[in-house]
Amino acid sequence: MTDGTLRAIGTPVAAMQLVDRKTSVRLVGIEDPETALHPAAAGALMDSLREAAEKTQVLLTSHSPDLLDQFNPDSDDMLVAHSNQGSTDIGPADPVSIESIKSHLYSAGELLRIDQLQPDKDASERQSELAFDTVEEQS
Amino acid sequence: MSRLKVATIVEGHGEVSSVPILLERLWYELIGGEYIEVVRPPIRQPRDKLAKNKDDALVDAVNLAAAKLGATDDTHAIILVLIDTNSDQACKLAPQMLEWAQYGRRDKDVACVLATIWEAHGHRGNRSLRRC
Repeated sequence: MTDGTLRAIGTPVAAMQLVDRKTSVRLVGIEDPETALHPAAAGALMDSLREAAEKTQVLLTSHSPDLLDQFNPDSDDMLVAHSNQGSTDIGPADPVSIESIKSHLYSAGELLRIDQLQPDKDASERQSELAFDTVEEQS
Repeated sequence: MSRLKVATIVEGHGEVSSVPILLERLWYELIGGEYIEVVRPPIRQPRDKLAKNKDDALVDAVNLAAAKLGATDDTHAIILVLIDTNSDQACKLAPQMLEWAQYGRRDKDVACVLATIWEAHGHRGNRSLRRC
């Protein structure tokens, strides 16, 4: 069996696993589910994960434009990680990116391909301030 | 127009890092402008898509650039499209690209610049320029 087939089976199985015979796990994290997967299967993979997400919180990390093309801003949440002069900014996608996706100007995958998928700077700054406040309170 | 905000559309990976620096140096060191903000990173699209507006690539890129410029109040805002001339005629392609770029975006200033490599001898321009 190929790696791609194993992952194509393993990813939905992991997302739909049960704690006991009735209860779904609360959270499943999957790193780069697109690895070794045929790009054309990205839609089917996301469909199965969305089905799993009705009972389980599913957290994905991905570098795949094909997978991101399936992103639906109305039902999915997305955090963007972006390398910036030696540091990594993580935050919700900036309002321009979200608006471009919602207006069908670009898909999330197309924005990633042209390096225009950016984290919201204001949200990143608020996070930094929050982290700084927390450190100050602890010290 | 001493305050300027620029969103750029380029064709190459090299331009993504170099064009913002070049614009800042031109603005501060050559023009002596007060303030410039270059939206980073530039929007990069393959030259063929931009030069032919294939699948409305140029129109879409300009719309995205306009969204990134946003409301600019007292700062002059402009969208700069910069590609190499290559074998095209700059005098024909630039106005055509400008027409595509301004399609539906009359609210923003747009400039299309086609860069030409001059021959090493310096006195003879690119063949495409001579035909203009």
